Amino acid sequence: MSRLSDVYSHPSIKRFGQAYRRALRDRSTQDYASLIDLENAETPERLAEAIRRFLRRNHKAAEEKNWFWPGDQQLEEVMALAQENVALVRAAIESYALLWEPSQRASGMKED
Amino acid sequence: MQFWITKSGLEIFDVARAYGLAALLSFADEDQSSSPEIKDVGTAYRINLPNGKPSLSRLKDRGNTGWLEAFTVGDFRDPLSAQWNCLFITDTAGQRETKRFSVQSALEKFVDDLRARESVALVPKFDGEETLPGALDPTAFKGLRGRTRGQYSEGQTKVDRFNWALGCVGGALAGRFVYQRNAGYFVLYPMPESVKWTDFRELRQETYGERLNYLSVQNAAAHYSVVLAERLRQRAASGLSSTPRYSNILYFSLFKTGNQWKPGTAGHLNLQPLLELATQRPNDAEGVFNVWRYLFRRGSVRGNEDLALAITDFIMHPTLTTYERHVRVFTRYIARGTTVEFQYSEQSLKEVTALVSSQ
Repeated sequence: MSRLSDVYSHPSIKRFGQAYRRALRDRSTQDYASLIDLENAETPERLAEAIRRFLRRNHKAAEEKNWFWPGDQQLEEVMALAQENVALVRAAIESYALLWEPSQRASGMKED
Repeated sequence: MQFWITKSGLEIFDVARAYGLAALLSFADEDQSSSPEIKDVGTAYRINLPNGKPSLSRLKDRGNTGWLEAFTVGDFRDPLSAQWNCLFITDTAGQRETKRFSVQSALEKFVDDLRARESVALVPKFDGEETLPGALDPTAFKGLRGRTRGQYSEGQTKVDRFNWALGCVGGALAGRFVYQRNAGYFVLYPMPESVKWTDFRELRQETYGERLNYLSVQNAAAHYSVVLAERLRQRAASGLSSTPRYSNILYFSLFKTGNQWKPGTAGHLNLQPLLELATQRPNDAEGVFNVWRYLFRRGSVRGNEDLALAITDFIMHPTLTTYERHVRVFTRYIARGTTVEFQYSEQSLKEVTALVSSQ
């Protein structure tokens, strides 16, 4: 996948992006650390490390609040995409932080 | 009848001449059943006026108020008034008035000649008797324009009287001069690809009032491109048959050094990706343009300039680097809990990602 729009639409990227957005916006987590980790992930290894930390930091909150959470298969797919072009994967995940949270929109706009 | 404004290499002068001729034909046409249409055909702008009968008597007609108003210094807030004082900003007040009347008399002198010929190519002569104003085209300013050895000055750019008059009236009617305190003037021209004169005037009226406190001329050009694209989107969404097409926005700035005005940054902004999105997928484009206009508005307020600069960079050069910068800046505002009026939907953000080039 060589285009950002293709990577952005990938279901695994979408799942990670949604989780990242929740972790960033939720008042109890406000995960700025993952924001910085992700922004500085220049290689597939650094991206893998950033994602690993992100999952570990927010796993408990995700379970408690019943967030949609990425599984192993999605993690593998994201890492496979990152091997091709890490910058596109990073930008695509970061993009999801800009979307409306479903709770902020009128009813009927829920994701998934 | 059709006319060809051959391109001379001075981009803004050529665009202004095309608008100027369209304006002249529109005001002078006795038939008034159609509006002149400007088309970019590569080496020239073709101005087409089917059944056109331009005449001096029509121009001189007392009821033709449009022509008289075109040579009146109007309120700068009025979108349809001619911006003569901005165009001749490098001249004294007395010279401005003289030049304005000179433009009018030159056009009135040539209009019957135009009618006599069904098709004519207008090639400017650069050894003419009139000086090209600097506020019309920044390349007209005196100074060093190429490599010279020993001699570090060159004269003013001179052109023939008719092309000079066409350029001046086109510049005054079509140029968008935005005065910005402490920066001078930001000058913008939408470059026509296929535009009818009446559509151009209508769009100018609709978009003229939307201006902000700009950080740079690029910021002004990027904002204007979004405002223009949004208007064209609305036309496309409403199913209007005539949707004008523009290719670029030409921009430059003028700043004052002591008593003299000098040209600053200049360039052009490619409108194609935005207009393609606006006219082909108007429903998806609405969400994108809402967010971008909000970012420009919010970014024009002190303390939020990074929002405007990031979106300006992205619109000017939609690369992965500028896209990521826009995302990161905007994310920080959202993450810190600032109330944000507009955000992307999933589909509208997909349209934005499709604009990103693979550079």
